[in-house]
Amino acid sequence: MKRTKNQRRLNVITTIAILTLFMVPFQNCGGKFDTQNQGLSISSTGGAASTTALFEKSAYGKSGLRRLTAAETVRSVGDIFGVSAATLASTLPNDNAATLYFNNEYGGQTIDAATVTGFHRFAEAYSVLVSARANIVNTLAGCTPANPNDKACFIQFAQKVGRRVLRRPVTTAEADTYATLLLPHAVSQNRFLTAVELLLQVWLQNPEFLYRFEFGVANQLNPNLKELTDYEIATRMSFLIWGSTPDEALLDAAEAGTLKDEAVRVVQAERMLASAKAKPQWESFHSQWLGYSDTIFPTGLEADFIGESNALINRVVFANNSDWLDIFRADETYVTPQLALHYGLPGVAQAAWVKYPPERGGGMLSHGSLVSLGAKFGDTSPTRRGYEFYKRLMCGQIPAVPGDIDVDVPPGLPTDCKIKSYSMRSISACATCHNITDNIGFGLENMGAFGEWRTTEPGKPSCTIVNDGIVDMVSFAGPRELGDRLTKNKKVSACAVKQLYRFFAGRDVTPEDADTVQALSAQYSRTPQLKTLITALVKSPAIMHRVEN
Amino acid sequence: MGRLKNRTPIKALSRRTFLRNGAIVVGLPFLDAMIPTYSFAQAAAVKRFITTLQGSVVGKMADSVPAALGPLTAPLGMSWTPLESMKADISIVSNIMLPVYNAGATAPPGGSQNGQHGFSRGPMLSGMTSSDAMTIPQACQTSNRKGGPTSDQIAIDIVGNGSKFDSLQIKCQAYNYNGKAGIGNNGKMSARLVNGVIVDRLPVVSPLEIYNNLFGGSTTPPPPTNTGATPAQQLAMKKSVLDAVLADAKRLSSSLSGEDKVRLELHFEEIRNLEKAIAAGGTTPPPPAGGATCTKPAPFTDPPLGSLNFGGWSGELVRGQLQADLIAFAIGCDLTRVVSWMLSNDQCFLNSKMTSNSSFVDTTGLPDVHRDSHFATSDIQALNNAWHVALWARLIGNLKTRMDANGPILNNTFLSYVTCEGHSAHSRLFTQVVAGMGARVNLGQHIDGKGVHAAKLQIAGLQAVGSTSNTLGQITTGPIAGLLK
Repeated sequence: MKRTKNQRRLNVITTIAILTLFMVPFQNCGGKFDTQNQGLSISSTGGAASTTALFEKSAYGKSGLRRLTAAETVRSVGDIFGVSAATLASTLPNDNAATLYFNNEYGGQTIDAATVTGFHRFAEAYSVLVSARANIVNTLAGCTPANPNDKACFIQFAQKVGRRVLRRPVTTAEADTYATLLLPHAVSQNRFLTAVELLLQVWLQNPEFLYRFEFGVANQLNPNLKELTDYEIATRMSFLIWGSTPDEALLDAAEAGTLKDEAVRVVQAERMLASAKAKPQWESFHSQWLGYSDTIFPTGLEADFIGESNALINRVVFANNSDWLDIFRADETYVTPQLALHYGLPGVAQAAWVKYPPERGGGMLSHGSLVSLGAKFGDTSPTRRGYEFYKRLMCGQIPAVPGDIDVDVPPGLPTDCKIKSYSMRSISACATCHNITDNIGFGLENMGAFGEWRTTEPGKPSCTIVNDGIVDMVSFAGPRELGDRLTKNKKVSACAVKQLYRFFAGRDVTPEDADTVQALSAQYSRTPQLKTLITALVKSPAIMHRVEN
Repeated sequence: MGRLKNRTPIKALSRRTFLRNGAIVVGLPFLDAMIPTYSFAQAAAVKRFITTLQGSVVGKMADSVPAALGPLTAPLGMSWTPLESMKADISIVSNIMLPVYNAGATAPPGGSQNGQHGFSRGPMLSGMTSSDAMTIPQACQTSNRKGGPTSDQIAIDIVGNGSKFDSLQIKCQAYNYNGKAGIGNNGKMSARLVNGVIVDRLPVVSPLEIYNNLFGGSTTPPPPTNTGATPAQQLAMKKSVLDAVLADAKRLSSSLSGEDKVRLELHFEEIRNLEKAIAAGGTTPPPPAGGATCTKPAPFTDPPLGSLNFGGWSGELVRGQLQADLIAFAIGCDLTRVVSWMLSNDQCFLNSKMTSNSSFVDTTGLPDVHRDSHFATSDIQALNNAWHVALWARLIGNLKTRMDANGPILNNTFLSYVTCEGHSAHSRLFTQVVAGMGARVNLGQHIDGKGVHAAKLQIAGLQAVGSTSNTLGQITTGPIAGLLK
């Protein structure tokens, strides 16, 4: 089954010819790149489109009301109250990525009995955890209740802590209403903390905590366009960078009315990105974008796989602040002794960075987390792996499988080598799409379902694997070469920017977002660091505006 | 379907063995077994509407239907065996269909797009074409939703929304078992119309959560504080909390418009439902009309959740049995009058070793119901079906033994057993079953649907509980002929 280099070259040429031949059917079948956001023709000042012009044409996609995800809820309360809610996370509703890759997409956020009941239980249980902390009222509000009916201390608590919870000031009248409603229970129980617990339960079920309301102020020229308040801008920034509620410093900036000043936003963004709180948020972003957030890993290696990918993300994005796409070309990886054994890498005594042998590399393209996307039928599926890489890394689009094709039946005969069983590239009706997907997948076949290195197919010693891939009409062999090809491909950087914007917006990119996304792409071409890109997004007018859905 | 020669040898299994192993035994409900007595009678003959969905039919269930039309006298085939002793309480409707159309073509009314799994539920339950109905995967974004509500949500207004919960959405199959968490697009069967927007009503899979929602309690440990509070004080505290939440929600709602307002109002409504549930929690629910009593069932533990992967299993047999019992309690206590109960996903990867009690696996080594539908023998396929049907039979049995003022609750409840047949490219003929409402429904019959649209069975059900409409979604031609008296 081994093929020579000449055969591989021939394969490339043939594929190019096929793709050219099938250009029209290719369009018909819908397989295409989303070219909307690839434009890098914007000048070096491309991000500086005038705010007035953007106002006039309402140049932002419509957005709906977003609810906090379970992870955002847990992080927010932990940040506000200093008490971890991790043990209660399972009481919260699941967040599903509806149509994109990110579970913060508002279109996928359901509102039903399970959701509301989940938050109710969470609120009850968490309020008890908080009230059990010694001196919690003094720690959070700076007062010590003199008696169960200490209204002054209660109002101080409601106003000081409430600002963090509701992400806006709590008026004295509001605090007084809470006191009137809840302090009698504290008196009946002879326990001030009863009122505190109940107040937490009110807050944590309050739509203003659970949802990110953006009322803003209607633009005079275009009433559909809302200019967000400083507090609403603070909220957007905080949930983008931290996946959590704003801290005191950011709220102070909002209270001072300075967040409409882009220079102030940049300072705040850089401060926030330097905080340790940013890391879990961007680890989560990558795990959702690259599709391993819900993967079921081999028992005992779950933390090792995730730890490996997180280590690389943190090294590239935070420690080195290097080119974001270095995550696809790093020649070192962080492995535990068990993971090194799994991959077939030289052994390590403890978790450490190790250099890849020449045939491997490509950063995350060699990680079991990412390549597990190709697992199917108990092994790898070149089609599935190629499809996932194509859509996630290049924002490519492949049409739905025809109705008479059952994708849950293994192709070919069980004894066939894959090059024979995955023969769809040679079937004219299938070739257009399978030449895209399978050509990527067959370039990575040396990596098993979770990245273990192999030279023959499992259980088929006569089926020698040749990493024989083509991506975007360029040949490659193995993850290192794929990383090289991808990181030089403008479609990949444009796609990465697009994923960032989706994550920020909680929805897909629309034509109205084109100016912002193109400006971000231009920013990436100048300074290709993720942190710079995030800061540019915070600096852009998009952070300050909303068009209601 | 053409790869039978590659299959792993199949261990022979007799139906008797399977029955003996208890997978489809209709026994004493767990919850009844846990309490000394159960008595409840309701003066007002309230009507109820229950839709049950077997998302993944394995083989054609029509094969198990007696050939003869008319009275159900001949033995039922293997798929329907659990209903053998209940033939007088059910009617089988065969030869009903969904019109199929290809993507891009003009859809016929209530048409089902030719494609992968998942294009049948919407047309059958809402009468809308699959591109507009709730189950089309590509249209799951709330902002893009069109179409119409499902029959269960329409039934709410017909049977009266006077109970604690306007409806319950329950699902037996705990996960998709395709490696991903969450309900998934193929795990939904109920949608309602809210201010012009179609919104999914997602099911609850945990029996314990259903129990807690219905009868109070909490899945989290009770708070260690305020333990000195009396039940009345605790209830007052909860009421204060939710009153404050509702006041805030109301204030916010007045400032919103468009889709934001719809979303908040949904949240608002669920909080109100929660408040109702809490008002009933921890104490005996207030007696329904007529002053009868209603006993809270004994607590239990949830079956453990299993792996998310293909062929997964989370104790679905016990899970489904508990759910069948909880539905009966909820109906009997008039905590709800409408239930949608999804037994398995449309394309079901549930562990088929458990559902068919066979050792069959195909060459991939992954035993799941969907795979059985392609590769297993017809006997094993029928056992998979029977596993599902047994859960429904348990529910029928529960409703038959519980009393309304005028007889068994079953007499005032319309139940339908809705089946999906996998890929749209496969046969679009369906066999479905109804039960209950004997005063309105011709029971004990095998009725020829004569190729009419499957939504007409739901129209019949809605008429059985009081509707006068001949329409469901785009289907406007009334109920299946001969099904109603």
